[in-house]
Amino acid sequence: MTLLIGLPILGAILLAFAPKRLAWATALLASLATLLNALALTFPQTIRHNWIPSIGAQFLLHLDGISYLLVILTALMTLLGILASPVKPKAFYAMLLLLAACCHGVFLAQDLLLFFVCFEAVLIPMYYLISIHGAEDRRRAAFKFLLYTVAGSVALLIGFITLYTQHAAATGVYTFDLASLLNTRLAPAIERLVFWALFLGFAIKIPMFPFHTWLPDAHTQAPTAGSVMLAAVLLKMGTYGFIRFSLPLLPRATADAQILATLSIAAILYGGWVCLGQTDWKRLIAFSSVSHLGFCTLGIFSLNAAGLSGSILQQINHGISTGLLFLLAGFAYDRRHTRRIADYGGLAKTMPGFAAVFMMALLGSIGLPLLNGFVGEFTILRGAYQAQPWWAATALIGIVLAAAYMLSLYRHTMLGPASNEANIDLPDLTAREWLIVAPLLIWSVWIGIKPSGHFAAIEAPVEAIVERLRP
Amino acid sequence: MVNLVANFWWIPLYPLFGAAIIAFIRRGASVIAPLMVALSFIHGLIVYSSPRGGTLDHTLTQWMPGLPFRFAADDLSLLMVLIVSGIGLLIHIYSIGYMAKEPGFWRYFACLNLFVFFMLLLVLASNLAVLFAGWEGVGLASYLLIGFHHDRPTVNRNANKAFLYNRAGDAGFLLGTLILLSIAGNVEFSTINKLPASGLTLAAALLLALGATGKSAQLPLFVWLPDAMVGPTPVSALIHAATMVTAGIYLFARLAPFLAANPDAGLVIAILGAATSLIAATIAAVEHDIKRILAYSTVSQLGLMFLAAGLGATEAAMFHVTTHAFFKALLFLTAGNIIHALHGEQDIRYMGGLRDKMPWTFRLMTLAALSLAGFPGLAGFFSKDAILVAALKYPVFFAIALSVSFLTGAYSSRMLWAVFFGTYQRDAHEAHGNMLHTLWPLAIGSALAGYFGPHGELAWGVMLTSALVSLSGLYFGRSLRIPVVLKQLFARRWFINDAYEAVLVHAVTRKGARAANWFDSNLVDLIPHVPSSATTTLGLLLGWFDRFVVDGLVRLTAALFSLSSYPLRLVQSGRIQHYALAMVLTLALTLGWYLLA
Repeated sequence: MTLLIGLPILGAILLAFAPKRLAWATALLASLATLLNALALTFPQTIRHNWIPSIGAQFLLHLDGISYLLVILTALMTLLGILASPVKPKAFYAMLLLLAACCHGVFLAQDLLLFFVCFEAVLIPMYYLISIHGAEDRRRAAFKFLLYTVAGSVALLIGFITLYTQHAAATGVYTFDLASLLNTRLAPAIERLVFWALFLGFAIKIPMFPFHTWLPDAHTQAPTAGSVMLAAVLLKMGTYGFIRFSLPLLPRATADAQILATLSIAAILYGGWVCLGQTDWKRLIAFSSVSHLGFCTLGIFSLNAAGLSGSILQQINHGISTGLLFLLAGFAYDRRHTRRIADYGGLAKTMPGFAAVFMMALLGSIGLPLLNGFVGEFTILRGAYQAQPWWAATALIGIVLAAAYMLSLYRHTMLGPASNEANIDLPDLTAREWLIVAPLLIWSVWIGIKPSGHFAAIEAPVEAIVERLRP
Repeated sequence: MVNLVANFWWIPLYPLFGAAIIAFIRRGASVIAPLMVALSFIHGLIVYSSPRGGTLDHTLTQWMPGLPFRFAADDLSLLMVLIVSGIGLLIHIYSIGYMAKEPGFWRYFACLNLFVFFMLLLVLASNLAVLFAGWEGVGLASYLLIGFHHDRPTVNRNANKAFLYNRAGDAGFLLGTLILLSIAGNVEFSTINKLPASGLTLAAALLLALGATGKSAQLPLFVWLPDAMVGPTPVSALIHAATMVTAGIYLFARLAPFLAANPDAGLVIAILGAATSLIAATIAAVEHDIKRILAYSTVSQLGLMFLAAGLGATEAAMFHVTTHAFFKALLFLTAGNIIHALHGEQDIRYMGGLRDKMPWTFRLMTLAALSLAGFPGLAGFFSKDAILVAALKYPVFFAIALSVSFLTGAYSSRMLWAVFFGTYQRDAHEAHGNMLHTLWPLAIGSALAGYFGPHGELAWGVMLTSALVSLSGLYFGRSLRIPVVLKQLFARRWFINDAYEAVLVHAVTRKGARAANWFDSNLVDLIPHVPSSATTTLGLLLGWFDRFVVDGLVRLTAALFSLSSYPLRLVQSGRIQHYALAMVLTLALTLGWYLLA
């Protein structure tokens, strides 16, 4: 399991010594090895080493079904992201690999300090990817992304340290071990305070409405692999944080969940509505992420098994579908060097394969039954209905909006006459591009038709969380 | 020997494989696609005619927690299987000729096969969740086929419109499903049909009905269907007349005991159906586009089926679904022959005199139109009669149904006169091959299907009234006079579409989304900007403080030292003479001091 962090770092180190023409191959090999290693893992399993004994911090990793799915998603997206970026400098691949290592750390760490370190370390390679390899306005976007999320992290750190000191005050043991901290009983006021501190850290990272404005900028400016990692993996760190830490550690503070569910519904509707007014391909998908992540957080704050398992599955679904949508936007950008929707049109005639894959990605994203999105959304809505019927009723407007903005994007890019000369002779998907989209399409259909394996993997940890939430 | 009856769930899979194969090899569509639908039809026929002993069911897999992917087959679903695959097969064969010269021939058949798969999935579902998969799937196939000619902007716009109005209904459908799921723990039809009535079940029934108004093009969501006529005509015949749009009525029939337990929902369905039926019939009476006349006619007939289903007469409704499938498919396909012969002309004002040029099309279309109008003895007469009998207890509904019957006769004969009689305007040729031969089975059904319906005792009075009303409609249709004000109202489609466009497209989508976007980048973005600007300002202030206060103190101290050292500095001039002089003076003074003391 340590190899999940070790292999990408090893790959990054090797890259420093690899000759330039072998850089891509080295990175591919490292990410492929990581993915294969991840697939071979069994769960649950734990690794525990001393890290900083003087303050009780440990190198403590734990793999359960939730972590497993997110780690597979990360490893796969890293591989596909590298596969999608063939001609880049060595440092680019190295940063992608480091990013993967940090993300794996986030999804595996059971020690609060280790989690926090990984949570923050993710920013370094991502900042680099956006600010060096991004588009025209990359500096500002990268800076905004960095500062906004760091600001949230400060609150998160304060929350964690409060937990740490409260636990020490009660037991005399200084530890960041999640399993031990679960036994601390906090005073209700402090529990609530810590909950909101953690909320700030996670909500900015997801991002939840109204803390989302860094996302469209970062997504639009990031290079393809950066957008893919950002959408598919980084946004899940916040939702994962809520599920792994906020709910089990602070079960009594979840009385405030109503506010957060309301914010989630606002994100679903507002994100979808803003999408309708976008003129930039990547910016539109970025706002659609705000809406989709709204479903994920709604599931979490429904505080029941259906909501939570739906939310986890939907996080994977969002990774698959939005990852695919960003990859496709990247393929189109590689050909035309523009993100403006109005510059496209009529691509279905010249690139039928591309148009077909785009349609599949879109349908998965808007929740057409027999594809991935429906299973997640429906399960979340089940949970939301159990918690509060009107939550489900209002969130449902989001699925109509999703169809509206996605079909509009499809119509203006893929359909219609190819009025722009530059769009007439574009080549269809290459073999490499087919290889990139194929695993995501297969995963999407798999979840859509037979999600039972996924549900079974997360059943036990979800049950454990729900058990803690019972009054 | 495989047991075809037990494996009835293979029925939808043939066209699914067909669609997949065609999409991959991109050739041979004209053989594979009809063959796959034929297999479904034959399999369906075998299951239908075999002794079954109750409802068949088969669980394929556990789909979502508590929601199995389960199929079920009984007489009702098998009747739908036969309609869908039978008429589907004819339209597949017809399309070989109709679409022969189209680029994207394989794509058309892949989508058509995909549609048949989803429709068969819909009718063979054992619970609401699986039905919903087919339900949204047929919407997708419909979207893809309406938008078949995707290089034309209006086509894409209308395809989107169809999908979105359906999706709006589907959102209601899903909420209804969620309610039932929370009450009963599963959404098997057998469970739902036994639920005791409550406020929640009523809400669920109404929400499912909202879904049905989307799919079956009824008020308040009917406006997409006429615009869907931009799709290829065989698609209009199969999806937008014979099969998909009847899914709502199928749903009501499937849930008949549930609706009977919630009669208020049934009443709402009946009111919506009656209102839609009348409104659509008036619009059909003033339309000029032949396909749109048929589309409004479909909306109107579906309204009658809603009326019957809402009043609990699901047998009558399904009877009309069956006969309507025959005569409306025949109407669309004969209209397709005319449009084909006139190279795309659809306006009946530019037709006329085609009787001699297209004699078979003329005879077949007349038969279908008369069946639609309820000409005594033809299929439509009997099924409409069944609906009238069901409405007999409610004078208002009965009156509306009779008015619709009159209008149906009127617009049918108006269309026939305009297309086939009068002066001949264009060159045209009779259809041949597949495009004619596939019409015969439909013609037989349009004429005779009425004799195989569920006959209760014959209500002679209703029959006679109905016959007189339809015949007078047919008679007056040729020279129908409508007051100008009403004609305006009908021609503008009762302003329903305009109102939706103004609110949904113009206000919400265009202006609203632009406003939301402005709000986001100017106001919501203040959340990070206010603290960051505040920090920057504070930084500037601190910088000022640092430079002038902190650094000032340091410099002040330095200045004080500097000032205090001024006298000393005067002494330290660096000139050797001064130092020598100071030494001499100091020495002299010291010596003097000793000497004097």
